[in-house]
Amino acid sequence: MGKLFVASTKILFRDRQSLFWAMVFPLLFTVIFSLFARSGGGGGTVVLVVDEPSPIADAITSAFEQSDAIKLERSSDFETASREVQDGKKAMAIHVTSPDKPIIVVFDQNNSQVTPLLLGALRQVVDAANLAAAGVQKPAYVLEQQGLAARDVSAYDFYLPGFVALGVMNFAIVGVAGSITQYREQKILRRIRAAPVKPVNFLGAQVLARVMLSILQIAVIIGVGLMMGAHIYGSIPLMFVIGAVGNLIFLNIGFVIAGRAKTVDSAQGAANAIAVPMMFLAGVFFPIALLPPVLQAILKFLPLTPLVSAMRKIALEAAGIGQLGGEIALLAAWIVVSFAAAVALFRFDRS
Amino acid sequence: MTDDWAVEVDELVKEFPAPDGGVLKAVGGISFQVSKGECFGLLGPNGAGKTTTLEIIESLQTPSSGTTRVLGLDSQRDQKDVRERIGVQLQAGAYFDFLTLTEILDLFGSFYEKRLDPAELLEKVSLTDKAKARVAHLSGGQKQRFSIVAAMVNDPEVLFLDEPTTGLDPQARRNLWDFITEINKVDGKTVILTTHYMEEAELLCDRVAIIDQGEIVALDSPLALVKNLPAAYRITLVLTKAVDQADLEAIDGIVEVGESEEVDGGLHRYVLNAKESEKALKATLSWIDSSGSKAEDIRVGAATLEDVFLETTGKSLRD
Repeated sequence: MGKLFVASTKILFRDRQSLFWAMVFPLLFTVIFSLFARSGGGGGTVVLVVDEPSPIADAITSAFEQSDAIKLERSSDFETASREVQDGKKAMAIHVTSPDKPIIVVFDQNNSQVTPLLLGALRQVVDAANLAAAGVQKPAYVLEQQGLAARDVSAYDFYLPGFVALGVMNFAIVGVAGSITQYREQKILRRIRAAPVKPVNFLGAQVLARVMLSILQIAVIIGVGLMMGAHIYGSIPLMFVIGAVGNLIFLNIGFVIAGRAKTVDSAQGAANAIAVPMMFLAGVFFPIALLPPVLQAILKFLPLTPLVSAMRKIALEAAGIGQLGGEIALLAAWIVVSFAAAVALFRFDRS
Repeated sequence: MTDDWAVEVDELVKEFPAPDGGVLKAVGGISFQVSKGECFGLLGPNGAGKTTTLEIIESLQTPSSGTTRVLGLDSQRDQKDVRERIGVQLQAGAYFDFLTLTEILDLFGSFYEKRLDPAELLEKVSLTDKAKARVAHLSGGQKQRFSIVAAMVNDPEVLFLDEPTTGLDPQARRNLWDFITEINKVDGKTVILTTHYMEEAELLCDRVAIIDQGEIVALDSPLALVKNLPAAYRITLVLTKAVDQADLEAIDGIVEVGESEEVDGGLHRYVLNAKESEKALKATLSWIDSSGSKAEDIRVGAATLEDVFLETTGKSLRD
């Protein structure tokens, strides 16, 4: 068993092509989406057009320049600036004409993340200026803001736990289905059967080696994600535990496919036919809460859905095991079902 | 004493469900015994049932009926003990792509109670310098040698080789024959092999079972099989003048006259099949003297297993 585990691990690391797809595919998402998030939809760039210097123009300038999140650009052409907002290249354009005329603001009303923040900041500046202009030294009522949703969750923070789950699924399903089918095609499984060793030892070593590599994969994805600026607010060790547990489900599914497929090509086709739709339907790229309720009710039972959801709750809401009851129940159910299916449908060697 | 046999096959039948709903008989009730230290060959065309028979003996397939025993152990009941003591090379079987030769031998050795040192095994097949190479980097002959030695990690008493030389060039095939002979005659291991090459069976095997459509049609030493043919020898004559076929057939000791044809320069070639070479050759030579024709060339050859196969099954071995 020890030698089988060492050999299986060596094979996994030396099979560069499979390793490449296991590691690089989710990593590719991790890196590309971090780039998106950085230049995303005009980001927080605000264009300020000032026709004639005024205290309010100075107040807006200094307020926006202080903020790290907002990038202030100056321009003299408001029409161009407005078009850039419309094209999604800039978040907001502000036109300060003369002190007696209204300040005109154009913004992308579909950008629900950035626009309210910018409008709020702008309103604060204008209100303060109004109070000062009215001679109010000390306002009668003060609103003290305490942002309780203090976690500054970016779109990238949202994606990263999804990519971890995606990586876990892909590597397990496609890897197992392909390699076990290949071993059967090459008659390696039959050769093992001809020896006085239990097939279950060989399969156990495979599973152990793959779970180990999958833990390494999670470490790489999380590591790169953090390097690219993602935030994880909860317990990273817990993400590893949930990832390894989820991995078992997809290994079982991989064994089911390997049990039925006749050729490596058909095994890989079947594996992708299961993995790719799940990638889009289980909430990796967008919350399934955005889908019609009927669909949601179905999709939440996909094996990847509770994995993505648990990863995300840990990463974004710092959820502990106690808050993951629903996800853990679904994952546990899937482990039982997928293991039973693997036992029933997997054939070590056909003769 | 059953212990005297390396392998016993008794009324072995293997049926498969046919695609049309019927039953396909891959092995139709065959029996044979192999002595310890013997090299035994199963010879037959593709689909004759050779591999199925071998895999049932190896405990890799279950028989529909009948029994097979290895070293007195039942292939089905004493599976683990049988597997511990045999070596199995599968037809066109591969090994892990991403392990070195040493690692593969070490891994497979770990499956057995008794195991040989990988370095020692590699030396046996002159692959010591490839110890750290992968199977993909071996030539065809080296691959086959490795696959045989990988079947010997447990120092087996009985070695099963399923078409060990298929796909090899003549030189590599000859090398492998030498190696198999060494395993059998020097190391004293019982070898059971399947092949569809006549010369291989004639050269390597002490006894050969000719299998066709799941039945043994002949079983004996290669020499005896050939000797027992109605015409074990073939005399090829090239004569200066054409002669009457009926006259040739009348020669003492000639069983039949095969093909005849006119060859270049007005010469005529005749093929005569004979039961015994010496008697027939003498009679033929004295007939030529009296016929007025002259012999430009005379060749005497022995029939081969190919002829045995043709005689017993009515068809050629090669597809």
